[in-house]
Amino acid sequence: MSREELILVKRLRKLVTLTSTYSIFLGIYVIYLVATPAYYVDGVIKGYVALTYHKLLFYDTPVRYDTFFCLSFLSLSILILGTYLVLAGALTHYLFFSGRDFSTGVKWLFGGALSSLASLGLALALISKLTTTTALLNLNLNQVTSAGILYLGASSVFPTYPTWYLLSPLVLIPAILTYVILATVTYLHEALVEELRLARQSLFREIKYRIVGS
Amino acid sequence: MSYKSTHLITMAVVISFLTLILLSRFTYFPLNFSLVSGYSMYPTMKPGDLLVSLHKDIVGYDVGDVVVWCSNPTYCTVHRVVELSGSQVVTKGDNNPSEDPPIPESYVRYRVVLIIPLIAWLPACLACMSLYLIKEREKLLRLARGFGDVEMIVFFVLTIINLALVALVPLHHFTTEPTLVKPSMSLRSVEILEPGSLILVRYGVQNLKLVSVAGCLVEVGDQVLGCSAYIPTSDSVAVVVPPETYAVAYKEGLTSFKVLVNLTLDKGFLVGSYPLHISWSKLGISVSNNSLILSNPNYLPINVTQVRVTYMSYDKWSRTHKVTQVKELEGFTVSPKNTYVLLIEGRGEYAYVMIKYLFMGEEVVEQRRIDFS
Repeated sequence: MSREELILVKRLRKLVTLTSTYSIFLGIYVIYLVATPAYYVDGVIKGYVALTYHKLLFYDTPVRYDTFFCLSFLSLSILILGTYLVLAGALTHYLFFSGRDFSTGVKWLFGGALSSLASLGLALALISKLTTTTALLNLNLNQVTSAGILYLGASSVFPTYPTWYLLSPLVLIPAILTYVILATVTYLHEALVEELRLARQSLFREIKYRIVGS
Repeated sequence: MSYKSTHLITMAVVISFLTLILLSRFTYFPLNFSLVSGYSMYPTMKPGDLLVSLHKDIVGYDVGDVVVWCSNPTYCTVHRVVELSGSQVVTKGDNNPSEDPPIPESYVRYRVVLIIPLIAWLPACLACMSLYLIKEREKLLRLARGFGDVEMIVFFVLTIINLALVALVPLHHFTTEPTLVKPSMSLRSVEILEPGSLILVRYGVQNLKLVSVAGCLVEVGDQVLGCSAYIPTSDSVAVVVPPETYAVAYKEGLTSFKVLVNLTLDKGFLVGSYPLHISWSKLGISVSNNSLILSNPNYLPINVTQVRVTYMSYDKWSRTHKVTQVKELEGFTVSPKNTYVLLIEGRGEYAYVMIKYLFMGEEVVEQRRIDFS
C-alpha cells in the first residue's frame, strides 16, 4: 500500500466514524424534532402541538385540527428518514468496529444524505405550516357585544425549548448540509480507496503475470 | 418475459400510479385517491381511511354526496354537499359544527365512491408487500444489484415514500375557524314586567351557560342602589327592582335609569349595563255609569289628596242649574299600573267630580261630569 493510499485509508476510517456518528446524531435530532411538542398553548385553548401529534383542549373539551392531522401524516416520511439515519449510522458503526467491509455502510449513509437533502424542503414546508397554523391558536375571546362586556379569556402560544430553536431553518439547514457534505466526502474517499485498491490489485496481477509469465 | 422485465414493469406501474394520483390534483384525471387526515367527517370517515373518488363529470354529485374540492392543488377538502345554489356549493364536515363558506362549483372535482378503512387497506397492503418481498427476495436482490447502487436504491425508496404521502394527503383548506365554536352572547330584550318590580333581561346565548348572578346594581341619577337578581331560564336574568328606584326617579324627575349586572358564566363572566326608560304620565280618568275610573300608568302609587263631588240639579221651570250638595270624599291611593273605581252616589241630575293630586311636584286638578240618568 502506497503512502498516499495509507493516508487516504486512515482519513476514510476517521470520516466513516465521524459520518456514522453524525448520522445517528442527526437521526435522533430529526426524530426529536417531529416527536416532541414544538409549541404549547395556554388559556382558553390548552395543550401542545408537535409535528406528528397534537393535543388541544378548548374549554376542557378536546378539539381536533385537520391541518395538524395532515401535518402528522406528512411528517411520517421525516420520521422514517430519521429512523433510517439512526439505523444506517448504527449499522455502519457495527460494520466498522467489527472489522467487516464497511463500504456498504458508506453507501447507506450517502443514500440517506441524498434523501435528507430531498426531504429538507418538505420538512421546512411542514415546519412553516405548523408555525402559521399554531399562530391561529392565539385567540382573544373577550368581546363587547350588545349584552355587555364579555370576558371569556384568551389563549397564547408559546414555543417549547429547545425544540423551537431546533426547528429553526438556521439550525436545520446547516445540520443537514453538514451531513450531506460529510457523507459525500466519505463516499468519495471510499470510492477513491476502492479505485486505488483495484488499481493495486490490477498492478499486482500484471507484475505477477510478467514474473511468472503464464 | 424475464424476471427483470416483470419487476421493472411492476415498479413502472407503481410509479405511474403514484404519478397519476399526484397529477389528478393538478389536472383532469378520472380517478383520485386520497387519504383522510382529520376528524371533520367522523364517524363516516376516520383518519387514515383511503378514499376512491371519481371525477364529477363521470358520476356527477348532488346534495348529500361526499365530494373532494380543491381551491388549489395543495389545498383540498373532503366534505359533504349540503346545499347547491347556482354556481355556489356549500359543504360541511359531518363532525363540524358549522358549514364551510360557499365555494364556486368549479372547485368541486371528485365524488367519493368508495371508502376503504385503514384497518382494511393498510394490513392488506403490508401483507401483499411482505409476501412479494419474501417470495421474490432473491430475484429482487439480483435486480437491485443490476438496477443500481445501494445509495440510489435508498434514495429512490425514501423519495417514493415522500411522494406517496404528499400525493395522498392534501392539506386542508380550512384551519381553525370551523373547528371552534366560539362562545358568544347578545342582548335580545330588556323589559320591565308589570307592575314594575321585575326587569327581565333576555339574551341570545351561544355555547355558554349562565351560572349565577355575581352582582346587581341599579343606577338612578347619582344614586346607586343594590338589587337582587336570579336566573329564571337558561337565557334570561330577572332583576328585582328596589322599591325606592321609581320613587327616586319620580322625585328627581328622571325618565331613565340603568341596571348593571355581573353574570358568572360557565366560560367567563359578563358585565352588562342596560338603560331603561320610564315614561311618567298623569292619571287616566274616564267615566262609566256612576263611576269615575282612574288608571295609574306609572310604576309608583299616586295619592289623590282631595275629592270633591258637586251634585247638581236642573230646574225645568226656571231652566237653571242648581248646586244641591257639595261633598268632600276621603283621599285614596291609586296603585301602580292599576285602576281605581270611584263610585259616586247618585243624587240629583248630575255631579261634577273634582280630584286633586300631586304629579312630579306639581298639583294637578281634574274634573269630570257624571250624569245620573
